[in-house]
Amino acid sequence: MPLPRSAQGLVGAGSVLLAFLAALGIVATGGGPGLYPFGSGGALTGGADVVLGTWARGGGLSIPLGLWVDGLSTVFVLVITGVGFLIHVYSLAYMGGESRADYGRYFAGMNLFVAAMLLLVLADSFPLLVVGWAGVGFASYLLIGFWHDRPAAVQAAREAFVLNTVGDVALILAIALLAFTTGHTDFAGTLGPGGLAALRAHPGASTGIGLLLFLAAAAKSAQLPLQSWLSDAMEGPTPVSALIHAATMVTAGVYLIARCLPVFTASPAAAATAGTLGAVTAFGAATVGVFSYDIKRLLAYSTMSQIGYMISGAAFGAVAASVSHVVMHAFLKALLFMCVGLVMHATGDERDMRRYGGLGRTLPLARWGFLAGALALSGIPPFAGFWSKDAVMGALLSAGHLVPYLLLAAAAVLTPFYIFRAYYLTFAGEYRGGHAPHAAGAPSLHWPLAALAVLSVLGGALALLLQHAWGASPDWASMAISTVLALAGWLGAWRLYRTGQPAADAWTAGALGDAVRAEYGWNGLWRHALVVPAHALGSWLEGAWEGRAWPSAEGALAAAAGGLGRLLSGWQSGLLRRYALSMACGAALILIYALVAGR
Amino acid sequence: MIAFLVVGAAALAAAIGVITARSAVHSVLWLIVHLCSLAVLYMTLRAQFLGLVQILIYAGAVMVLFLFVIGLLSAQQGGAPVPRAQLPRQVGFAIFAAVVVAGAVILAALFGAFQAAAPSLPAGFGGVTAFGTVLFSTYLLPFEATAMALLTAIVAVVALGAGHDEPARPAGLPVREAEPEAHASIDVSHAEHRSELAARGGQR
Amino acid sequence: MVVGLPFYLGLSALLFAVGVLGVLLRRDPLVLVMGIELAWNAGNLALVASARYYGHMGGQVFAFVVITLAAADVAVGLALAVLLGRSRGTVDVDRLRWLRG
Repeated sequence: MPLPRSAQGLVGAGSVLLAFLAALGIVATGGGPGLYPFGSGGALTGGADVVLGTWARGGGLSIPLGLWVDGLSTVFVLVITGVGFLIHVYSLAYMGGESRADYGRYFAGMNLFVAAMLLLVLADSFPLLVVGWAGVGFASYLLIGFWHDRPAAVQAAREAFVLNTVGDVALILAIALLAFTTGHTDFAGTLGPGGLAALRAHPGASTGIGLLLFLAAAAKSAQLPLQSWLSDAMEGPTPVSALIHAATMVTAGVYLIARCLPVFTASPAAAATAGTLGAVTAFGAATVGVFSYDIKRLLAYSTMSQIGYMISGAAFGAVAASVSHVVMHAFLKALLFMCVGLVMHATGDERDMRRYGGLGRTLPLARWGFLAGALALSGIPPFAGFWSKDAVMGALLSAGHLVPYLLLAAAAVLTPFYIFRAYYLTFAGEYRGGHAPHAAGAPSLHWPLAALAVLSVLGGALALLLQHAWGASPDWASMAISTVLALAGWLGAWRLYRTGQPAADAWTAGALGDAVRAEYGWNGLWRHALVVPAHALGSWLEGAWEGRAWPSAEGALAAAAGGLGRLLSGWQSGLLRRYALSMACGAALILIYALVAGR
Repeated sequence: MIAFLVVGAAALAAAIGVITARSAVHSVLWLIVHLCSLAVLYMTLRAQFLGLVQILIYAGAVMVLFLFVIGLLSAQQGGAPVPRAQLPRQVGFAIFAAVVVAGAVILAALFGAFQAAAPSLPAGFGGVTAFGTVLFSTYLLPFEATAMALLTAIVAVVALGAGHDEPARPAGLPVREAEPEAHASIDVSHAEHRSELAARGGQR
Repeated sequence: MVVGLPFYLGLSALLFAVGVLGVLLRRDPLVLVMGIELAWNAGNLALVASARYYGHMGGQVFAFVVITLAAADVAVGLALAVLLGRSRGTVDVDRLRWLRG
């Protein structure tokens, strides 16, 4: 018997609020976000290891059970619980249409996610991190497939789970390699000064570890080459998309790479691979976003693109910029998803922007919220995203990573273009949908949105504080360039779309648009590389093995069993003296054995 | 030495007599001889009490039971001795098992196993006092367990005898055919069963 | 020559083998039970001899227990024989094949 809705909501959102207050308690007692985790040599030095016990010991390897508190984990904990709390509150009314059992299932999944995510960022060893890592993947699977009566949702959940599992395997292999190289599995042993020295002594192993870690991060954070699940994951409820597939879980890959910075310090090759692939994802996903009609998919591509910035920055060592971008992106992307949620509620779960238009009059809060989020995402000063996105680009520019920088700069032009294209198509012009839109009025939908809007406008101060505390200095030249790039993109969108006329969007139709919207045929590539051969193997096995070889083997087996049975049933003669004879012969054999073996 | 050889040979000869005698009554008589020679051996082994028990209980009471049953069955059967015909290959395997069991122990003895220096025993070893003291103190549990076994046997015998009024259905035994000529048809049904099995095998 | 434990055990093994042969080669259930008695008594001889040569009363006590169990065994075995003779009209154990698989 499910609890009443109010109790479910109280537990669901209240537990996250308690977690947030506890996180503030960590900050108040000195475990603040100002503690930069890495020392001057690049090894993991700062941080408090709260040892709870030993998880497992054996084979010369001891796995501790404990929590690791430093600036990096504290920032993530604050984002997960803070933004998570706002999204839980938003969900209270947003999911109100579900049945009472489904309502409870939803909050159970969300709370499971928050718990697993906190374990992920607080673990003090890689094996414990894997627990959280797999846990968030599982919670994500549950929530993407929340509407389990929709085949598309179930399909998307499965796809996400499978691709995440590829990453899980890569992560476990990386941990095994790390344990072989350094002899430890805990952070202090693997990433500390001793571990860094061991990694530097084995550059080949370090590169392998780094590439495997990047593969794990790519699966979790939807980066090339494992990116395709995120856009399909938008089949889940919109608050889920906001929390898991925009603000927190997909940044777990950034956390992993930032945490394992010593590995990438020891292996420039792995750093260059990860950083460049991140930048390629940032640019490629932005181009797909430009052509998207589905507004949630557009935001998903935007998320992939922004995480590309973070991964690229973290891999090249700009941890402060990258992590501050995680925070800013969590604010603004959660805000954008909440606005989209309001829009979808008003239009009867419509996600196609070609059926929007003129919604600014019906939904003023969504309009202003979306505008704040779009400005922040575009990187227009002084809104939140600018301070962190530019910091990533500036770090790459000053470190001389030119190719990734150019890719990110191109993405920085495309970002304001696609997000303002979405803004104008949704809120400007005339309404193009079927029935008239209706506004939803629950206050719990509005005030989390307003809070995030404020953070998206003013949150840049937090980014600057974090960067200052972690010793990253602003780069004025890069800031100027970034401002120009962002304004150029906005200007392009304003010129094309400011009236909200759908005719302006005609150029996105056609073969090119179809190809881009299909993610450049990426899924087809996987399909021909993996699915088609697997199907062929399956049908060959079905025909050759199951059709011919197995029945004859089966027949032989059955005949052998039957013959043996007839042979043995002859033994069971029913004759008392035969049975006695069997016993006597058995006893004789045992006696022989005992005398021979007993010598 | 002489006593062991004479009495041991008597026991062995009597045992062979038990299993070779044509008539069951002769078997029982041979068995009594056998048990009494064993009782003598027990006496020489300082087991006086056990030797007496052997004669009183075994050679006395139990053998009387045997004779009683033989008499009962002979009255029913007309005393016809059971034919000696053997099952195929039964004799070979039986002799193999017997030779292995006896031969293994004797070979082991010849090669010097089981050597034990006979200690000088305390006075009264094997007497009633010593025996009773041990039986009712150290071995009280086996003693009680024996009582349970005897009780079980009594219950079993009573249950078997309870089917008295209905000869065709002795309690505790599964009986497939109730007809008096059933024993004659058993081999036939057995053959039918086998051909049925063969037919089923052919179907595969 | 002193009669040692190996002689008794050898005799015991011979008697046991004779008892086994009786069980395996005779078709009369009464002789069959008597074969079992021979085997029991062979074991008893080994127990009593061991009690003598190890100076331990335990062997005798167990021989006593065996005598008791043998008596119970005879009671049940003979009851079965009587019952078979009465219900099946035969005392040939090779005629009894209900347990055939």
